[in-house]
Amino acid sequence: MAILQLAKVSRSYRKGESEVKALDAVDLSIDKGEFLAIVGPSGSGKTTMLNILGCLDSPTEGTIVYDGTELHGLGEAGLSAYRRDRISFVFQSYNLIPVLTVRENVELPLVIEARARGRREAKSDREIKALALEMIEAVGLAGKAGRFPRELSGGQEQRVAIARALVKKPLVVLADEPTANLDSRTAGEILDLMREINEAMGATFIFSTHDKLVMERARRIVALHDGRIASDSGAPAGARP
Amino acid sequence: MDALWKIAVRNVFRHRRRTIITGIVMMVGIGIFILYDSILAGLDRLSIDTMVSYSSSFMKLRTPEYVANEAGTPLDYGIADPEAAMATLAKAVPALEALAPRTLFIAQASNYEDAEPALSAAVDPEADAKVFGLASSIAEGAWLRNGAGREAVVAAGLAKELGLKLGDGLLLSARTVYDNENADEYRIVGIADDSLSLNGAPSVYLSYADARALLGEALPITEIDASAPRASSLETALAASAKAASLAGAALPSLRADPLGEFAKEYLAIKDSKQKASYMIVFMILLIAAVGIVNTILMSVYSRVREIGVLRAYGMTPRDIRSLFSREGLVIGAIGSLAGLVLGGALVLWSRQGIRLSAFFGGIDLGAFPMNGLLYGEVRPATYAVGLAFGLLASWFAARIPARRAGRLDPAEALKFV
Ligand SMILES: Nc1ncnc2c1ncn2[C@@H]1O[C@H](COP(=O)(O)OP(=O)(O)OP(=O)(O)O)[C@@H](O)[C@H]1O
Ligand SMILES: [Mg+2]
Repeated sequence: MAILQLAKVSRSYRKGESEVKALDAVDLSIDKGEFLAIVGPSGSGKTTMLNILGCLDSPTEGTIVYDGTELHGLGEAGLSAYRRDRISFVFQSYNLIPVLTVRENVELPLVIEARARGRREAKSDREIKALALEMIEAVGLAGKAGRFPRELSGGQEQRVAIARALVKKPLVVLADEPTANLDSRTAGEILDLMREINEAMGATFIFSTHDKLVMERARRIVALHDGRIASDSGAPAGARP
Repeated sequence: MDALWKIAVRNVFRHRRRTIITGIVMMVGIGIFILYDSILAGLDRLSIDTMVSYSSSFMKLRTPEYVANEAGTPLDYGIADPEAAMATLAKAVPALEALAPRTLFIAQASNYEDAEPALSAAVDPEADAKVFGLASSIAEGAWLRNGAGREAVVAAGLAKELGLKLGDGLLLSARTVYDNENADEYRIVGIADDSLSLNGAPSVYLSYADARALLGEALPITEIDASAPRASSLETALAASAKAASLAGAALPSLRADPLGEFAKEYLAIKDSKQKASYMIVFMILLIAAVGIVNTILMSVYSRVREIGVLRAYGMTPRDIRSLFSREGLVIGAIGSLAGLVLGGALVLWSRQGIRLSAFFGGIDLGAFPMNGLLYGEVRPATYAVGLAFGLLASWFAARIPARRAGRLDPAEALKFV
């Protein structure tokens, strides 16, 4: 079953008189547990697509159905809540919070969730801490929980970012060029880690990339060109129904 | 600790330099406010103390008829049985420390060439020294002694005007109780502090024995003055005096008891406008500090646009973001304000050692203050609370301005920010 369906999704930007269509009537269906790469030249609309999938941006036309919910008209607060509960992000430049330790960074999504829920429904501080430590271990950083981001290498920072993305067991993890700042060996390791977690936890990963080596590890490749889908390798048989 | 507080506090300490600079402005502002308020209260206290110690005393008992004709210092409305009145007073008003009789009269004071009208007082030297501060403010010579005969103490101002020195003769002439003029010569045995001639206090003092010789054996006692231990603040002194006066009035219904507040009325009226000026100062300084905080938080927002994008992407609401930066401002404000309280406290502590007025104001005529007196800052806990509250409020409101801007950032745009 598709957890994400885009139907005729367009996103245009006004630039003075002219209008740029960053996405142009895109139809796309993504299944649970996919490991999908969005590729394409610079300016083809990858970031725009991920922002729309991540509820950070809304299409100017078309509809998105997320896990059976139509997102259209959710409004700012609704989108915030939707992101908080089901979507995680991994960024090109890691974007860890510099004043928080590794553990505190990983705890952050759970803390935000707890703030939004009432006191009674929220996870306790101890639960949150245990979940974060578990995730830190899963990305191979056991023993670094008390470090600050500036004390880590780029690859390690991105591992923390992946732990932060997965700690709340999201429906979808979105990553815009997650390896662009890493050397190719580290990039490969990060991709392997994401794929491992994808298989072990069944989390859906959607990432954009320029990198051939990274594309090779994807199970499905969607290529964009000028805001349209130029090619789609199709959902692999392995993706969970 | 709440995650927002944690992030806010750590960012404040991470950017130590700008925190310190903004904090120092706040600290100095609040410190100066506290010192200024303390000194102002000290000046109030000093001038009221001066009044109490040289003219009004803690509480004054006179006949209602005398009070009605007070301006003419009449000798016709004396207290009928002053000894009995004093005994009753001592019993009825336990707050009083000492009592002294006085009789005021107007005399022409002369050096045999020029004459000046001078408010004069007949006093009981021993009792008077216990109630009034004269005996201890003799600049040259000594205070009156009982039974010495034909001695006078004059205020420095009058002595200067008439060119009289210690040991010189002073000619006094005045209207007697029998309504004729009489005159006599006195030796100046003491010259008292200048402030006496400045705040309505008498400038010539004679013992009752000498005064009776001059004004007639039937010279009445026209007022009874009282003293009490010094109160911790002006407010408590005023309240204690009012209470003492009402007790005295009840015990001696034929006399009129005036508390010191009655004599300080005009002064207390100006005091409020001075208070307003001190709030203007704190307002101005906090305005400057607030601009500093707006600036600092704005810098903080712009250096963390992408972080804001991340927090929004992970589901923080605009409100959370606003709150994050408001708290940052509040933390800086709290650090600055607390430092301000410490600084203010230290300055007040320093002022408690006594500031010599002449060192501060040089030759300026201060009117109601004794120039050689020491000014002590008053400790006023309420001022510290006001300073802290002002500091916190100002920083919180100031931080709201950049915080609102942070809350309005679009998450997708913020994440693109480099
Ligand atoms: N905020 C914006 N305002 C105007 N035009 C925009 C904006 N964001 C994106 N665009 C335009 O939309 C098109 C797609 O941009 P997008 O960032 O999605 O491309 P991309 O595939 O992510 O490129 P890159 O590989 O360089 O990151 C581009 O032509 C871009 O100029
Ligand atoms: Mg992009």
